[in-house]
Amino acid sequence: MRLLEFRSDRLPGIPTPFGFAAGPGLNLVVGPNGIGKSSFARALHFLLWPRRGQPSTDLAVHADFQVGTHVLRAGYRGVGDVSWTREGRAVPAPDLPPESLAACHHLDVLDLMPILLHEDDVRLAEDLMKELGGGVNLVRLRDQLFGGRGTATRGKQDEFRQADARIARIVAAHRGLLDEESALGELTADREAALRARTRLTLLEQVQKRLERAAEAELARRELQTIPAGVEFVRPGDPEDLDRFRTDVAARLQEREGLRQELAQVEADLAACRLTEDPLPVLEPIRNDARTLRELGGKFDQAASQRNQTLARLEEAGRDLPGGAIPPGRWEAIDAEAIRALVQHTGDLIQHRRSLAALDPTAVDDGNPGTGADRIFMACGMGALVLGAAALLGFGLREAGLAGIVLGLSLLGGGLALRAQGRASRRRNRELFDAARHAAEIAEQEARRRYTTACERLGLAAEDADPALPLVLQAALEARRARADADRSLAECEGLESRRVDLLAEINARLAPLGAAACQTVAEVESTLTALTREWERRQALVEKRGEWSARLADCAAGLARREQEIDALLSRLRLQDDPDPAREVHRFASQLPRRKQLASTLLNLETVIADLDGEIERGRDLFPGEDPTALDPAALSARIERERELADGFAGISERIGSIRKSLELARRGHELQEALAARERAKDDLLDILDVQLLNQCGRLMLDRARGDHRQKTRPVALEQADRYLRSFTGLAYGLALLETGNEDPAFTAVRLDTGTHLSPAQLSAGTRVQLILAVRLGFLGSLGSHARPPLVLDDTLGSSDPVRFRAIAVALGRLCAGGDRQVFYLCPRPGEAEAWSGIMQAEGLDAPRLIDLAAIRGRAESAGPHILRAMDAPGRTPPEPRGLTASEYGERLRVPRVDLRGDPGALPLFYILTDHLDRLHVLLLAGCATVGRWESAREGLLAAGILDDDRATALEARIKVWRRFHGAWAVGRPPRVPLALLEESSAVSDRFLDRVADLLAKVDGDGAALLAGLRGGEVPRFQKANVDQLQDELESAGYLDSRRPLERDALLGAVLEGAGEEIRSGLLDMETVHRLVDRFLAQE
Amino acid sequence: MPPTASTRILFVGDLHLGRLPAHAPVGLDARTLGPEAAWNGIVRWACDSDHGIHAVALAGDVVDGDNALFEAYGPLEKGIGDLIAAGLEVCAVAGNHDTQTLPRLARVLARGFHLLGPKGTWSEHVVSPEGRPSVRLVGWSFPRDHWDRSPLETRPPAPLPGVTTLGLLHADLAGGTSRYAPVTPGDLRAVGYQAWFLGHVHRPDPPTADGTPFYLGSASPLDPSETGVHGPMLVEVGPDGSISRERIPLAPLRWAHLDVSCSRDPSDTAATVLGAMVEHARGQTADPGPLRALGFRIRLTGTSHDPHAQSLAVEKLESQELVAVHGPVSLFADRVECAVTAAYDLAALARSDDPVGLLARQVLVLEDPRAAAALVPDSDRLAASLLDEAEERWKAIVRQGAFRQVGLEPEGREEVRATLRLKLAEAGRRALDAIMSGRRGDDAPA
Repeated sequence: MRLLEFRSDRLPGIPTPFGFAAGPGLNLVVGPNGIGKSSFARALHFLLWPRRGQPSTDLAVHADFQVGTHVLRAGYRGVGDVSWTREGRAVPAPDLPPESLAACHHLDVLDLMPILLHEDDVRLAEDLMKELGGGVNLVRLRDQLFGGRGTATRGKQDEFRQADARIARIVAAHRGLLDEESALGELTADREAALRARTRLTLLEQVQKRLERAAEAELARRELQTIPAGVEFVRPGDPEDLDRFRTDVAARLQEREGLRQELAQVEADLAACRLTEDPLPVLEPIRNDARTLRELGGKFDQAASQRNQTLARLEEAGRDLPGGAIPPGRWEAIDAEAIRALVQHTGDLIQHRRSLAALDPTAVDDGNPGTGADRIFMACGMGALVLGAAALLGFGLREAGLAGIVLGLSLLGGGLALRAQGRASRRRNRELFDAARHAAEIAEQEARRRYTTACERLGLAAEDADPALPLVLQAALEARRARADADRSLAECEGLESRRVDLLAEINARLAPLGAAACQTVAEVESTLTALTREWERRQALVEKRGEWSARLADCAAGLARREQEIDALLSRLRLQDDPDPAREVHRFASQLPRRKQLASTLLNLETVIADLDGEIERGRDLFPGEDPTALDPAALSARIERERELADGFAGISERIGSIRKSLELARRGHELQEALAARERAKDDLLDILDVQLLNQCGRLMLDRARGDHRQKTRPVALEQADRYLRSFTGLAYGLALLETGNEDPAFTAVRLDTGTHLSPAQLSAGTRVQLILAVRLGFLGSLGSHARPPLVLDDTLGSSDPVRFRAIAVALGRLCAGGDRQVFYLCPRPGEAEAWSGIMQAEGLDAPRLIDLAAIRGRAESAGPHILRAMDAPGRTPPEPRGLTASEYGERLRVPRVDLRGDPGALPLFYILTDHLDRLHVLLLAGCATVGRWESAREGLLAAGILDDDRATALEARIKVWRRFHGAWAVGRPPRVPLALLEESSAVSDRFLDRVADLLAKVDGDGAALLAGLRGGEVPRFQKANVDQLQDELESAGYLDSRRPLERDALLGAVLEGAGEEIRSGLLDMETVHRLVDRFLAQE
Repeated sequence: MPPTASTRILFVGDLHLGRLPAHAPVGLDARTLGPEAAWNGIVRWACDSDHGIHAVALAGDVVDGDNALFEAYGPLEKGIGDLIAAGLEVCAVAGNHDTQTLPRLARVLARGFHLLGPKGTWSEHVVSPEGRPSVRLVGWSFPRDHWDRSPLETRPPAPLPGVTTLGLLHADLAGGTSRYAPVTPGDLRAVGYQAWFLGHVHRPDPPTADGTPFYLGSASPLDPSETGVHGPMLVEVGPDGSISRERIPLAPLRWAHLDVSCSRDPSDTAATVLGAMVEHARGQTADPGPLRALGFRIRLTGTSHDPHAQSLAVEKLESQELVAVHGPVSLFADRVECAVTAAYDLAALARSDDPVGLLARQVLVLEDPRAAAALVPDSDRLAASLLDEAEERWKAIVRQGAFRQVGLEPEGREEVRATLRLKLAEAGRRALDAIMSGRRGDDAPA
């Protein structure tokens, strides 16, 4: 399949049509950047594999292909699908290689950028692997089925170790226990000896105690002898008793004297008494007479008093009589009947007078005109007349008016009738009153006459009738009766007085023998009687008192004698009869009594204790065969006791130890601790053996599958791999061969094999040039494995710019030979016209067909450049850097997703972004050219310059800044060695497989810091990692440059180092100080 | 007066008191399943007058050497004390585990306990119950933990005519260079005793009637590999000198290895396994006696269109407790392995030259060298090269610290290669199963 002609009506960024015819074999498409070389390549790729590109309305192209004997046209007009036509008729697309091989037909400068393989290359590798496995990815299947190393080896290993350690610990304890068990006999003997010593010690302590008690008893005995004998008999209450006795004796003596004096006084009083005999028999009759005498006197006095009262009353009645007092003697003439008549007549007269007064003629009323009723009738009649007249006359109410008039007249007639009846009644009453008054006046005159007669009869003036007169007369009558009674009483009194005098005389006569004076009155008699009675009673009292005093005197004497006897007895008991101051002695004895008692008691106790001790000592003599412990002197005894105590003190400890051992033995015999530990170890062992079994199975499985795969590969090595290998060997001048890295769990990858050492190098480990050659070799190799598919053109878009002349030549020759058969068409796009000459020269030298030169600038007729953005339109998403227009440096950095700078990493990996933040357009151009890092710039510098990506001045300025970076990085690395790679640990003999994971974990923990790693290892963070291995690892790290003990430089020192290194650039004006400072600060910010 | 009744002696194999079974079911105390429990049961059974036991003979390794000082010694001393107190005589030979313990016990128990063959000699003790035939027990004890010479280098007492003589020995019947008193059955039979009862190997042999020496087996299994019925052997010597042997199943634990056909649906695997366990238990334990637990190691067998799914189903069982109950016996699966294969013709596969065919050839030369010889050129060399490579890898594995510390029993090279042959074939089968069930390694890495 060969491209005959390509024609563009428009390409993204190139709106003007152009076209060219292609030749067979090698075609060199040349022209400056932006002329449309890459746009052509992408358009062609899109026409062949439209699903790998992005349709664009800016795209309108068609291409004619020679496919077999036919010419087919592929066209695209900005919409729809790519159409295939033959002579204007639609035909199916030719049998193109699958999309997985599309990448083999197009390699552009961007393929050089990634360090890892492009996904297209990975896919190629996978296809190869599958082919190697006969349709099965044996490597991946191997790792899936037999990839594990067995589960949790370390955990089970730890379990086994722990169980083993536990067993060792228990067994050690058991052995110790066994030793202790064997020592039990000796311990038992020791305990017996200690027990005997303890018994002896007890006895020796008794002996020692006996000695001490005997000494104490002797001391007590001596003190007891110094105490007086009487103390033995003194009683605690003796001093108080003696004092009390003596006080009592004195009191009794004083009392006896007082009693004697009292008794003498009583005797004297008795002697002075007149009455010697009892006067009561005489005095009692006198007392009765005196009582009689007093009664008589009373009666007499009462009678005289009554008479005087009647006389006074009589006199008072006389003064009240009308006409003055009644003369004496008239009272005898007053008749009681006359008085009652006078009283009667006086009453009658007064009554008649009152009746006459009631009939007063002035009280009769003649002029009363009538009653109220007649006046009412009259008034109503008049009213009715007036109303009737008014109604009739005024209002014309005839019937009403007539009715009123009739009513009024009727009422007036009634009123007049009532008034005439009243006048007739009053006339009759007057006549009756006059008759009554006349009768009353006659009666009053008769009563007056009878009154006057009665007054005259009594000799009283009858001037007028007094209503009180009857009362006065009644009182006078009663007074006259009272005086008569008084007169009779007076007579009786006189008889009583006589009798009283007689009786008084008789009384005086009877009192005289008793020595009493004569009495004149009853009061005197009574006083005398009282005096005589009291005198007798006093004599009786004196007699009783005399007897009482005599008795008390006798008692006092008896008590006094008793006390004196008691004192004598007490002193006699204490042997103090003859002591001059017995009381003092008694007190002294009493004060010494407790001490004596204490001494006596102590002595008794001591003697008891000593007796007991003697008994015990006697019983224990067998413990001391051949010796008498009681014969030891105190010092020897103490020493012996100490010795025995030392022996005896061990008893408790020994017993405890024996008990502990026996208990431990019992527990051990009943225990299952060791059994459980053994079982646990057995389980862990079984688990480990299971793991071993798994590992063995895995290894066997890997062996079987690897062997099958290897055998198959030997027999059927894929053509593509063979060809790719040959290409790479050719491109690299037999420096490298190609291999397929099959890790199973990761994506397969092509690796370059150093043919001299056999070392496999991944694409990331290759230089950029070799990497390009590897990728090119792989893709060219696969071109040979297309089978029956059509063979589309191969397009290489400036991929050899970074190759040295030798490699360039090798690749060129390879491509030339690829085309030599005539069935492969190659387009190589290059911006440098001189490169076309080189191609031609090589082809000619190799005897190959000269390439066809397609000068796109000439075809398009001008040297205009559409700019790098023409590359963007058909790029795969994300592969073209964005434009910086309108963005700040930081925004642009975020858009680019610029990674942080790893100061400990490769300095060539520094993104150019960090040194071109003030020239983002320049950075953008470089990025478009695939130059993103310092290292990339340095490796592709010449190509980029040749391509006109940067001019010389800008390149020089960029390199001046790169120099700042290099200087900075070199200075910063002082004291900051690079990170220790995991591979170093994996290859180190100091780190065995057993510790590799843990040491690797520690390395990750310290972020690859070699010094920190060693410190951690020395600090025991990886248990049981031996010191010798740490030392060895340190040597390895030092020799590999991963340890640096120098002091890291600070900013000023770093700046100084940079300025020193970049002095020439500063002086030449390529750098200014501000830029240097800014760059250094920016680098430091990445720490 | 000639005897009219028989003499009954209980022979007890390796007890290993002081050990516990390492694999016990969840929920059961391992102590109730271990040697101590078995020993206590044996003592109770022997002391039961209904059983009419006259003597008990211990065939060595009564205690475990790793735990012989106390934990094993206590139950042993008590048990023997109980036996003696019940009027039984106790004879024992020391095995390689109890060269210290039994002599020590013999010193403590002066009467009723007879240690036969102390210090590597032969000695005898005659059990002669009244009115019953005398039985002469002859034994030899390990003088040290290891003894790589035949006990018969020292001549045992000659048999006595008219007296039944029974040999009691702890030895390795494999002979050869064993470090455990190597001896051969023929040598022992040549001594002329009526029977030999041996300790050392834990898997019990079926008792022989012709006097061929046999292993009594461990009194109670310690390891899942010790399958079958365990317990002491009751030996009855009749008045006429006849000898009958009967195993008394007094072990509280029993192990069985079962091959269980896989179910069509892998999700039924658990039910299938449990069903097989219960079914097996039904056939084993009509009268469980003192049996408390029956442990299984299951191998899932058969063919399947998707052996990988079967394998995954078995792996899933690892997180489950496969337990069941059959009467008083707890059933538990200690391990389930998957040996299910895909249905394919290995020989047919081996005719192909693609990698699968090459793999099939490797499996064939390992599994069936004869068939492979006709199909695979240089099949022996292929097998040998595989075994050589596998042996190197095996050496690398066992050199790992994790396995060195385990203290692997040294094996002869042929043994190792035999094991490797099996492993290689197993691995090859697994790979073939995966490929033939459609796996191409395209899926995500494991």
